[in-house]
Amino acid sequence: MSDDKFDVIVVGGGIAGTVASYLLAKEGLSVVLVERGNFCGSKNMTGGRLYAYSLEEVMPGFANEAPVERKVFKERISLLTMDQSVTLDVRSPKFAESGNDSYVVLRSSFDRWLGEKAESEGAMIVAGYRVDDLIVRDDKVCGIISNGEEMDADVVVLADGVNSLLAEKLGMKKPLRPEHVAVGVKEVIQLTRGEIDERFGLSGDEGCAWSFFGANTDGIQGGGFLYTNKDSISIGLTCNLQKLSEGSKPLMQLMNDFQSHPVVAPLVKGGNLIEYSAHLEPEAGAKMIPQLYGNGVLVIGDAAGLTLNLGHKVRGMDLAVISAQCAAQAILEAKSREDFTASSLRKYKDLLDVSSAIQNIEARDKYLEFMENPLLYNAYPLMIVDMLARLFVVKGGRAQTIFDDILKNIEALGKNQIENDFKAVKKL
Amino acid sequence: MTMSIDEKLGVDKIIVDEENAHIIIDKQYSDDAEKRKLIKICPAGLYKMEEDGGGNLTFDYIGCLECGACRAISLGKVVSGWNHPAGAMGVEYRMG
Ligand SMILES: Cc1cc2nc3c(=O)[nH]c(=O)nc-3n(C[C@H](O)[C@H](O)[C@H](O)COP(=O)(O)OP(=O)(O)OC[C@H]3O[C@@H](n4cnc5c(N)ncnc54)[C@H](O)[C@@H]3O)c2cc1C
Ligand code: SF4
Repeated sequence: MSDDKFDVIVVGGGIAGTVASYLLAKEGLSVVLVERGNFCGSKNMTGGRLYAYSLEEVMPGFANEAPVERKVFKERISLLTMDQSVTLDVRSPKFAESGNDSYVVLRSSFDRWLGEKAESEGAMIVAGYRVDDLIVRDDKVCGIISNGEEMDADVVVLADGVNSLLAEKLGMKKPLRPEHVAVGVKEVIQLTRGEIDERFGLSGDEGCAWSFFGANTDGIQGGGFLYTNKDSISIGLTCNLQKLSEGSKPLMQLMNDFQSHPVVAPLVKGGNLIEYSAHLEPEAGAKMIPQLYGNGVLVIGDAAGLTLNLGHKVRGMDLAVISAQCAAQAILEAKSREDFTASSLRKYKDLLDVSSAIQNIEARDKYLEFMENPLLYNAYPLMIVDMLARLFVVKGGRAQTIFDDILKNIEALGKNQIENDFKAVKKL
Repeated sequence: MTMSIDEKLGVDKIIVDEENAHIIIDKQYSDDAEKRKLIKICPAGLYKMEEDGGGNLTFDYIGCLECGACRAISLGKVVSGWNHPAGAMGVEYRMG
């Protein structure tokens, strides 16, 4: 480490930290990124899909150069009961149009590449060092402490992820509440390209994104996901942490059961496990966003709780990019004034507030409450799958119409409950 | 065929810091409900009930995937200390 003072120290080499470093170094600031893992990306996992629009703004045409796995051409959603399923399969050239496009990524290589882009603009990457503490003088963050060594900077950017111990230490962020996060597990399972193309109906670099709801989380708020990589698949589950802790099955068992489900088992059959990973995911929307700026300090990405979980769509990486952009712009302006106080760095929050990141998060707060409805994860999937399954059954005796079925299901669940939930849907 | 959690973790690259445990638990903590929560939520299956039937919790930080779930559930209860492993130590994802 060095005794010199830097313009900016970024803590954390995930999407948020590498993109912020890239943007700041590109504008000529002296930037050091400190990452506790041995390289950027070595500690990071994600479900799999990066919505491209925001990174495209930072690095136009990035997907031609970056180690992306496949471009998503096909979306599937399945509702599962223990032994039945309904699957929606949507294939559209719209998914591939520029601006709508999304890519399956594996973070170990993807973040590493982003780190190299930052380096190529002049950022210095110090990997294998955990930032243990921050230097605070006269109520201003002035640098970092790692392994007993100190390093000074005008601004420290905390991009240290969902478990941001540093933002907690500063009192900017409260300890995570179990009801505000989901815990995710994922397996990367190796298959041949041919097997993947055949099992998912793909060709070339086409990819599939698939989400699963219902029995696979045992009624717990959450869902399953599957993304196709080039020659492997990423498959996993997320469950609200609080609900999981109150539930009846351990997460490891839910994951095994999920992979044994008749819909899923043939997809992973014969594959080789090449990695098992786990990570928390912020999922409480605006109510978990911490204090975003202070004297000499900004908080970005997952550390700032900027993830949007809409069930069938999880967005965190695209929002990490947006927060990095807003932070970089605010720092550049602060630099031009040589004023790194909270009132100067407040610009970050102002930019974020008018960005699509925060606006989407705020707009979705009602949706998040709706998503907490436990019926969504057991009774409703069961009802829908059951009705559709019966639609195709022919047996002797008087034929039932689908309306008989709907009425029976409504009676079983209670008319008031359904009416209330229907109203809740209309309000969204 | 499902793999055991130890087999799954065996596939991962984990650089073990033999000298420092990054998670410390309070073995005296007596609330069974709290212990059961940890057993359910740890994706690496590192929290276990001792097999002697005494209801004691065992924990081993080796194999930790550093997710932070046990911290969010039980810091100040069963979990008395939680930090990221020292720099360059712990899990190293090759896929991620
Ligand atoms: C199961 C799951 C599925 C998901 N699926 C999707 C998806 O499909 N699409 C999507 O857009 N988003 C998804 N997300 C969310 C997305 O992964 C995150 O929003 C994103 O990774 C956040 O990036 P980040 O850079 O803010 O944080 P991270 O990627 O967590 O990076 C934080 C970095 O900081 C480092 N660090 C932490 N503390 C220190 C320290 N003290 N010193 C030095 N370094 C430190 C870490 O090692 C790490 O490299 C998913 C999340 C989960 C858990
Ligand atoms: S951090 Fe996650 S993997 Fe490690 S012990 Fe806690 S719950 Fe288990």
